[in-house]
Amino acid sequence: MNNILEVKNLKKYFDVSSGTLHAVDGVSFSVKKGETIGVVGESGCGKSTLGRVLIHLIDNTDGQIVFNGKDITKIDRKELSNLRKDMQMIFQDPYSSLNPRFTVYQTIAEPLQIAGGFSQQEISERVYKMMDTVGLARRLVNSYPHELDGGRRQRIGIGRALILEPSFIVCDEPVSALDVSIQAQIINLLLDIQEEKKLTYIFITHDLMVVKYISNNIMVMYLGQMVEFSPSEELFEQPLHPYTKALLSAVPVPDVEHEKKRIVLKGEVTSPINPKPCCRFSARCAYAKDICHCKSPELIEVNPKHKVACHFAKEINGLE
Amino acid sequence: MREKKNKAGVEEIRRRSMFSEAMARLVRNKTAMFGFFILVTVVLLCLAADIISPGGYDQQDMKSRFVAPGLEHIFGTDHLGRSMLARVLYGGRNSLLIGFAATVLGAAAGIILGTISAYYGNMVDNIIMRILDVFNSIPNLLLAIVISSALGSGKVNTIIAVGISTIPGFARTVRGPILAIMGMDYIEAARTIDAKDSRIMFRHLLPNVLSPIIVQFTLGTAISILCVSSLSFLGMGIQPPEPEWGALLSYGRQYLNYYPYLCTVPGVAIALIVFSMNLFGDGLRDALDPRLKN
Repeated sequence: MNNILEVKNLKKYFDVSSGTLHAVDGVSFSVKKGETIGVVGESGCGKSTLGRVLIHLIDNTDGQIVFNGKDITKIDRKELSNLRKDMQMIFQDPYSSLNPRFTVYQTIAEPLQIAGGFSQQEISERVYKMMDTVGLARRLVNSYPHELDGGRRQRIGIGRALILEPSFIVCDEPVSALDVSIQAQIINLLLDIQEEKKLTYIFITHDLMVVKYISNNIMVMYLGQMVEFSPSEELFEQPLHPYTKALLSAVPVPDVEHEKKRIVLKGEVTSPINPKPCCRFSARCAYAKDICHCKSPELIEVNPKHKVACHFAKEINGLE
Repeated sequence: MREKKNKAGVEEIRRRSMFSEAMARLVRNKTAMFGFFILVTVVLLCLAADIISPGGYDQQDMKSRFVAPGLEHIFGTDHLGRSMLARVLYGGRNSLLIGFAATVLGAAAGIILGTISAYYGNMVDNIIMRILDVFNSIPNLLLAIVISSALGSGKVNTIIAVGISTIPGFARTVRGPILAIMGMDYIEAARTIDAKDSRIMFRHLLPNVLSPIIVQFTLGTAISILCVSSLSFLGMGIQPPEPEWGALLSYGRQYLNYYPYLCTVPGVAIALIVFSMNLFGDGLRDALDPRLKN
């Protein structure tokens, strides 16, 4: 079995004043070692919550997360400490993810100090090595975050995540707060490091071009549910779910001759608080029929690698 | 920005830290520096009491009672012929030391309570903050009087009494900014690298709320000194024959009609120290948090 992570029916509900917010609702997927799974979806669809639940920053409500063959949803404090060395996170905002009072050295060295068992000598060697790996000049070692630009700051954040040599990393929109030119640098850095260290990424983003470039598989989320899961190439060639179609049609194509066939969604996003047992996309879907408003669709396998949650996936796409 | 070459020949750019920038702003602020100058002068004079008045604060000279301020006795003498200069200087030691110690005590307790309150939130927050609200609703001095009368007089008890009355201020000062920082990603990042609660509090949260703590400390010390003097004035803090500014005022009050200088000298001393600390504290706040100034 080479699945590093298997997620089964994962749920995370939040109690809010007006009811229960279904942030992540019954998500199942698996990730092979060394792969990248891109998670896309609009704001508020539960992407970030999914990432945080996966690395156990917040507890899940229900379901299983099997990491390296072990269910990590019910583990004690000590096991969690060990788990932290294997799962790390890269944060979205390089301005708020670094302690302004810590120098570059302090930020990158802190995980090692907490983990313990390293001499000062070893720590400093590893920190300098990590700075080389993530492309930070050694002279910046005593700089404070406010002295550095966004790209360099994000490199610090990546260094902090990698210093314990984890095998699994959740990247929560790591490039969306950066300039486009720097985005490319950081993405290439992430890809280089992945190849070098055989890392597995969960790459959360709303930028479809980024996700196409970096992912093996893409998971499309809508209101806490997974609506489509497919290999990256296949998803862009043949999106099956109406939501994915709309999402992909919004990607700008760098071609003047290209005729734009933009699918514009109408209607409001259904509230994730106390959702009705229907297809959550039905209120905005052009193909919605009666059944969509009263029954939540099951995930169907169109082919072994491509899954979609839509009652009419086959009819719409002319399959079978 | 200075550039320096280290041994390896690598250019090392040293930028001014946030703190030294703040200090530069503070030095440029004339009113703050004026306050700082008065503060330092008064503190140094009090520390040098042994040198300036080698006779001590309780050397009596019944032949020269109630001598008006002049060349021989700069601030005059009191009803027992004791030099007012000596008594004000030695009294200042007591006032400043007790006020300072009380603020340290209150700051330590208040910062810890405020941090715990903000960090754990919900129930813990509610319980701690509601208890502190009760303390806060009682005026500072009244609370100190109550505690002081329960504990009795004396230096240590006065420190405790005044210290307790400053706790809510510090807890509030710390709690707000910490709540704001709790939402920052670097706190979540600290959790992902398995930092313990205490580490997050002391290494990630508190260093980032240092500025408001420093400001509150300066302004709080001024209030504490006032509070200590008020207690002594009422006969609860420092007991005779030890001098203390508030106690000196209290003695002088009896002779106010005939020998007003007995009140003037300690009164001016109190006013001066509180005034200077407020000027300095305000300047410090402007320097540490430029956004507040407009």
